[in-house]
Amino acid sequence: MNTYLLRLCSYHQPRRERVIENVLANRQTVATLFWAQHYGILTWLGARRRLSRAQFDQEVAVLIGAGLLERVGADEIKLTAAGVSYEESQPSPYQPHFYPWYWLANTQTVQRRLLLGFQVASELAYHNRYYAPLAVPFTDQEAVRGWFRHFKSAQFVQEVYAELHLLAGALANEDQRLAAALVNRLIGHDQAGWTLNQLADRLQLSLADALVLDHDLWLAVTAFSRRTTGPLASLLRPLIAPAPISRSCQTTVQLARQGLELVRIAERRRLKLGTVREHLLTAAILTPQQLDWAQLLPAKQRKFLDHHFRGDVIHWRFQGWSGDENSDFYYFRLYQIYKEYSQNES
Amino acid sequence: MNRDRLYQALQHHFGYQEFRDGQLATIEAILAGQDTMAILPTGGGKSLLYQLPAYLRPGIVLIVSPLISLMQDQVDRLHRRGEKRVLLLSGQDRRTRDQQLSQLDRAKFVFASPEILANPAVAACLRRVNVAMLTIDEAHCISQWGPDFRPEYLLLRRFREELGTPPTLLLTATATPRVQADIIAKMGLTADEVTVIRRSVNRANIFLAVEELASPDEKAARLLQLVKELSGAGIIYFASRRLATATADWLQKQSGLAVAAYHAGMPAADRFRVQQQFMADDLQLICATSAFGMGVDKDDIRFIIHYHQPTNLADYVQEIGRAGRDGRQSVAVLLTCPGDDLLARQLTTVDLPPLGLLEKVHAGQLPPSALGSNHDLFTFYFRQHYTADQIVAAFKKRHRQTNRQLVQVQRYLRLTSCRRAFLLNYFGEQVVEQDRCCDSEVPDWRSQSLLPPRQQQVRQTVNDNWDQHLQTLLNLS
Repeated sequence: MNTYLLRLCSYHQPRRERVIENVLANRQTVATLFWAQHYGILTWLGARRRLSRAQFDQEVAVLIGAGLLERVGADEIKLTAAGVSYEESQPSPYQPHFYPWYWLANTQTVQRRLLLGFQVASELAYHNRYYAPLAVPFTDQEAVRGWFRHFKSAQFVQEVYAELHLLAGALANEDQRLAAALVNRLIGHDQAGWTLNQLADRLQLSLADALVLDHDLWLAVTAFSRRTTGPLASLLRPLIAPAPISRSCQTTVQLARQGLELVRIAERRRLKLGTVREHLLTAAILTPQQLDWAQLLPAKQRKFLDHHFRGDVIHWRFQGWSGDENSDFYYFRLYQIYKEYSQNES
Repeated sequence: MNRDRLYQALQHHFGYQEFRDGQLATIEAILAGQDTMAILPTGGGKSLLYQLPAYLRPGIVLIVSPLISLMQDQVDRLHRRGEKRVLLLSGQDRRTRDQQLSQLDRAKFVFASPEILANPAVAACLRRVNVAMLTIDEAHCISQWGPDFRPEYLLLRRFREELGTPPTLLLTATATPRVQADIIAKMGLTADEVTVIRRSVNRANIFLAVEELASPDEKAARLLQLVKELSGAGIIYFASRRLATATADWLQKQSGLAVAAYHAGMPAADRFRVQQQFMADDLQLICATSAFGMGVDKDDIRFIIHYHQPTNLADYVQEIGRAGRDGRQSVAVLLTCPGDDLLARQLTTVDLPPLGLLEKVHAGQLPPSALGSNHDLFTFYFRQHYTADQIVAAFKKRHRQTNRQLVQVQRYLRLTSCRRAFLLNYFGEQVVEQDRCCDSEVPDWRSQSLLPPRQQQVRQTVNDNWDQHLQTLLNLS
């Protein structure tokens, strides 16, 4: 039984199962991000990008069948007392170290490129030209091919070794298992590397913990590549995002900071007004410290909202007030985010 | 073409001195420009049939194949031989595919699924280059999958015509005379136009057995016993990914053997690892769905166990044919228990919407989604100008066909006479007599030690020294 989803559920707080699924699969909408932040699972964004609806539903069904989860209403799930006991009975669940870097890159792509790039280096080290490379999408093949052409030299294998030696050493300082996982997940000459199940087996982890560790590993590799130089870092750097929000989202935020009204921003950027609002709400959730809140939510607006919406933000029920439902909902959601942010900061 | 040149090419490109049975005749026919159908047993070296002519003729060889895993396997094998002029068009996003199509003229081998060839942009690009030869791998799919699950197979005929009818090679390991005729007809060919090279499906070194168990629990226990008794590498086939995964885990714990699951839902890197480990004998058992095996290039697989019933005998013969390619004694066991036939029936059933509903969708009065989860399948036929009546008739015909195939599987399971004779009969072949044939003739086969005893495998231990492992990977130690 894969108990992974128990990590994302709570005994005290029923959580929307589609939010959990969308967080893991990295299907980002403002609603998903908002609820993910509220549940405290935002850093799990994209932790299981390959998760399908059918697989998610099946895992939930198995956990409900085992009495570890229960359904609340039509679309929420929560841990049962047995679920809590189960979690507490686990000897030492793997605690991720690098999840705050969730936004850095698609770890699936990082993994594909690093594995293929390393395989090429390993086969070169053994002077072997006849081998089956790991099957990856054509774009990744081309990226690795171009990278290899650029970096191939007499020192290439030594440079790859030096870089990975440094990385594995840094990982071992965090957790020995991360270093073991890194070198044993690599595919090389006559070495196919561990599958995820083998990783769980050899490191004596549950499958759930192995999944958590594996994502942590690739985030670590990405974070490391951001700060180092070397052939592998160069291979991965084009995949690394400069910020948690997209470039387009950042542009909208900058224009808003310059004092442009939302309608003007939409006109200038040839975007729908709704998209501009989505950009600002996304930035409010992912990079709240970068926003000029006084500008986005002027004192008068804040006072009005404060008067109408009180208590726990999650229990607020939206009701329009100006006749423009879209605009009202934008301010309603922004104020919810602001309140949560202020509470967390204080 | 001069035979000497063929032998030279065989030696030069593949390192072999001799052709296997049926290979030379097929290659000569296709190089003479004849449309050719090769029905050669699993492990008979079918990929050489299109690869060798590719080196002797200018232009591209286009290989149509049903599964990405199968294509990937062929691509891997070409890479291992140092052949880099290979493109795999399926399973890519649009941007990637466009990039690939722009490099089409540099390719020698192009692999594609029927679905991707149904894409007008892809077909147009292929029309612009010199496709010297069209190969349909696993050609029985034209007959087996065409009408229901993979309707794009039915478009191959038109696609071939649009390419200017290049010499076409139809490859399969199993085809009854009826399926053979159906494939030829569906490709728009006639029997006298096609050179058929047929060799027996019989694999004399594979012992055939069926065991009927009383319940799923008994079946699981029996499986465990079997994998402990049988030695060497083995594959266990399941109808479900979930059961394949769960059983791999369970068997590893219970038997102490190195076991892994393999199915199409796993990440590509893990599938690659499992396949490589199995080839290198680091794994002894694979619990797989049918995604594993087409094209598995391992000669010493000693046994194949089917944990669920196959849906037809052609698939079954293909799957068990992965055992014993080295010619040594091997075993194929099919385990069954009450209720298994229902599962097989479920897997082959397509829910056909009522005629009235189909008509309304056809007339645009209802959206295609009203046809349920298979709406793409039915709208495909509308696009091919089928009427609702014709769709219903085609699916009913197909349903009768799959039922007949299931009945044959049931008959095979319940046989009290020779299983090999039954299979050979089914494929329209002469019955042969042989020793170590099947469980009806050797009922106590389990006590006969058909396979040598299993040798104790040393389980791999974790090398705590990550630096040493890294150095080994990079040949620095």
